[in-house]
Amino acid sequence: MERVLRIASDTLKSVAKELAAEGFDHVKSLTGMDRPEEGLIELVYHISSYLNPALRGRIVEVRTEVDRSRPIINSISDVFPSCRYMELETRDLLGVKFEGNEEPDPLILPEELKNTWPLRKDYKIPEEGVE
Amino acid sequence: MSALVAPWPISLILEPEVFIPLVYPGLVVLTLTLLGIIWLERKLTAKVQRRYGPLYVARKLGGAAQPMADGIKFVFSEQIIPRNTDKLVFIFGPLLLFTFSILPVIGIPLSPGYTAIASDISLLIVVALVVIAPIVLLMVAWGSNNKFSLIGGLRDGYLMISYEVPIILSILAMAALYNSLDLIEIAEAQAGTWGIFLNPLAALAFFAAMLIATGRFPFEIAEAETEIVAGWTTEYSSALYMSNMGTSYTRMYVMAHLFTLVFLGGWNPLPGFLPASGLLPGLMILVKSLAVMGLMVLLRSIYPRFRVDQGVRIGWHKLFTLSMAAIALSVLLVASGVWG
Amino acid sequence: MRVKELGKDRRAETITLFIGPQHPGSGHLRLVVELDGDVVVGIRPDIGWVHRGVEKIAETKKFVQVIPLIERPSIIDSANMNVGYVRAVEKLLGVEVPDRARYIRTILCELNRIASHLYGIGIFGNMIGTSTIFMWSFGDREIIVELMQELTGARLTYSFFLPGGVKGDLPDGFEEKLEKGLRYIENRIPEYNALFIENPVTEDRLKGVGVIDREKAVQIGLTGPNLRASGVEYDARMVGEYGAYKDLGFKPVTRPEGDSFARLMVRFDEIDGSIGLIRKAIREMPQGPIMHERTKGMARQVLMKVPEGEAFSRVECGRGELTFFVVSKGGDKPHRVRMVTPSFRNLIGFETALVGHRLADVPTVYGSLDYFPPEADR
Repeated sequence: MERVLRIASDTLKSVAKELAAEGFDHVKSLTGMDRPEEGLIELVYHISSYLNPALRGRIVEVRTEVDRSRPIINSISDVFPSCRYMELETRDLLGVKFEGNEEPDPLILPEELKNTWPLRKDYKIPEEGVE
Repeated sequence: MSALVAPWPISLILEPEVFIPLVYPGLVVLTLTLLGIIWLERKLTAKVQRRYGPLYVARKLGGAAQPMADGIKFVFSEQIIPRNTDKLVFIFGPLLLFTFSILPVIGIPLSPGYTAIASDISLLIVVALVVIAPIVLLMVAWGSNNKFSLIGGLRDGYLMISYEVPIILSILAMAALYNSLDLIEIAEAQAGTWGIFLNPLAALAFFAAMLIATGRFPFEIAEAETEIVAGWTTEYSSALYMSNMGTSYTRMYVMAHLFTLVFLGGWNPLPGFLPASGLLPGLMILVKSLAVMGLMVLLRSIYPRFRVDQGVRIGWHKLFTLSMAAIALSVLLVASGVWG
Repeated sequence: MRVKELGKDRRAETITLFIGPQHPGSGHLRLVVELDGDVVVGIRPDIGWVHRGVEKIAETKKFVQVIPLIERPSIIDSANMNVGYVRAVEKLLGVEVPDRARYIRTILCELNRIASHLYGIGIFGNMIGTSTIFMWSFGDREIIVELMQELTGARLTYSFFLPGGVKGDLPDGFEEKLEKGLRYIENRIPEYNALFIENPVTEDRLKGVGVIDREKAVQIGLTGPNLRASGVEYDARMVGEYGAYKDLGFKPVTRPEGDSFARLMVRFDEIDGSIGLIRKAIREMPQGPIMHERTKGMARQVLMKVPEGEAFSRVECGRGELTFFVVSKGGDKPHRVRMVTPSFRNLIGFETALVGHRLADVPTVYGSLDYFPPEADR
């Protein structure tokens, strides 16, 4: 990965605006990684450009961390509308709250599994046994 | 026919007032044609789509008993009537619709002198009975208490406005050409040339409007499966659903007969082995109507379906203009003395 | 429950329809459509009906066991998904794929692209009412599927690519069968043209419907043929990190209009392009090994411990760009596998393209975006 930016979670919005001004225009992927032993959830954004010929094919990796017990961060879906559904999915699966991009119902989980955050490392997968 | 002495039940059935509504073009031949045309549609479509079509039920006949098997299955499956529907309309609406769809056959003559209603405006009677039916369809769509049914019924209502005028105008064009509104006189006047060659504009306008009226592709708008589930028949199951499907084909059957009589010469020209009166000339009408119906079902495999606003636009821009041009052509032909 | 609330008509003039999972024209997707008469004034997609938790399961399987897992979301396009994951693992391992394996990967991926586009065209035809195109395209797709079965032994999910190379070489007589199959597809395309593309009803239904212009397409992050039909010349194969596309000289096809008709035509053009690429790859195929030495043999694959690190890879599936982000902590199971599928990124296209259009345009736009619900939900 040629360009990696490690930033603090409260500077995410301004970094996103700077990248948009440089010519990057869409988010390819938003990954949430649970690190329970450090008490953090790490968010990795991969941002690239379609229209700018110099940046096409280049990917910027933006890494930030939020506290696992209070995972709140600004949403960048007003700067990059392409990450709106990815943020909703991360909220369903990991419990990160993106301020500015909120909807009452889970996106890809059924309503019974709301707020269960299956992708966290301490999620106990319900098992059925043969008794 | 009258020279033969026959027992009284047979001579009763052979009376035109009984034969026409009951046997041909009435209920008996209608049922047989329904079974045949549904099978033909599936087989023709399958041939275009490079597959076999129905082949399981009666293998040696090419699957021809499939519609009958489907009909038996429909009768024996459970009749579900949802709780919040208007029960009277839900149950009797389709039956009323079927009645109105088959009613126009009473005006169809089989040969000069063999007709159930001897009237000199029989063409007008048939057309008037044909255009009554869609109102009952709106009733049925509303009574189903389902948003998809409502949308399907409303679409049929919009289309009703767009096909009725071209049908009536093209019929009027032909009536002007033949100077009569009596179906027997119209058919007799085509002994030399058929109406479709005299006024092809009217034939084209009537054929296209007939496609819209019966909901055939490309105008299968009221029952667009991928948009509104099954349109006005969404909530129906079992015998009532079979009646709904039958209604659509019945309308096609009736209008194909009308097309045959007005544009394809009816029973003219008669081949030598058929007598010139009685009910046997009806055989020619049946053959020609089946050909028209076969063409209409073939279109299923070729065209996607239009949107409702495009269907209405075609009815008003293209078909209305075409039928007005047909009237102009008729007037020209008559006034210049080329015909009649 | 919100479902009941959504079903109530909020204003007296509009109807709210659930074009829900139980509908002939919807697949595994629910579209909550708010209609004013016949015009769509609001639309909200509701996904997740086929969410199977692929990312969670991948954390409990060995690296080579994850391959069949990530292929399943889009089974008609599985070779491309396979390549994406395997590229990421190869970056973590630090192995270079031998040349012959790269060309074989290209051939299988392009065959899969043709099959995936035929599937999309068939479903699209069915949605606008012509079941003829549905039957034709699935019948023609059978030729491609049999070719792939000849090469890999499976019809739909091949698991043919392993980190380091491919599982097997081209069988004897494969080049002739391949040429016969490609020539058959080429001869069928004019028939599609005559019956479907030049059909006046198709043109009426598709032209000008669901227009997404260039800036909007870039902003919402559309991908794949939908993006190229809006005039943006971007294809993940251009970037050339996988397969033999750089050596074969690949150029993407674009169209400027951005409506449903353009999206359909881009798919047909891409079928032509793939046929050309496959022929070129067969002609220029180098000789050599098909698997890297360090990962040769199933025993090495199963017991493989991937060094610690993170890797990002992107490939072009039939429907768009697929990205993988694989994190390893040095063990034999991945720590995190993140996949963002093209259908998930195209989902926003529904909201953008449909507001202001009519109810009958909903299946048209659905088919033209080639949205595949299992791929989006994973």
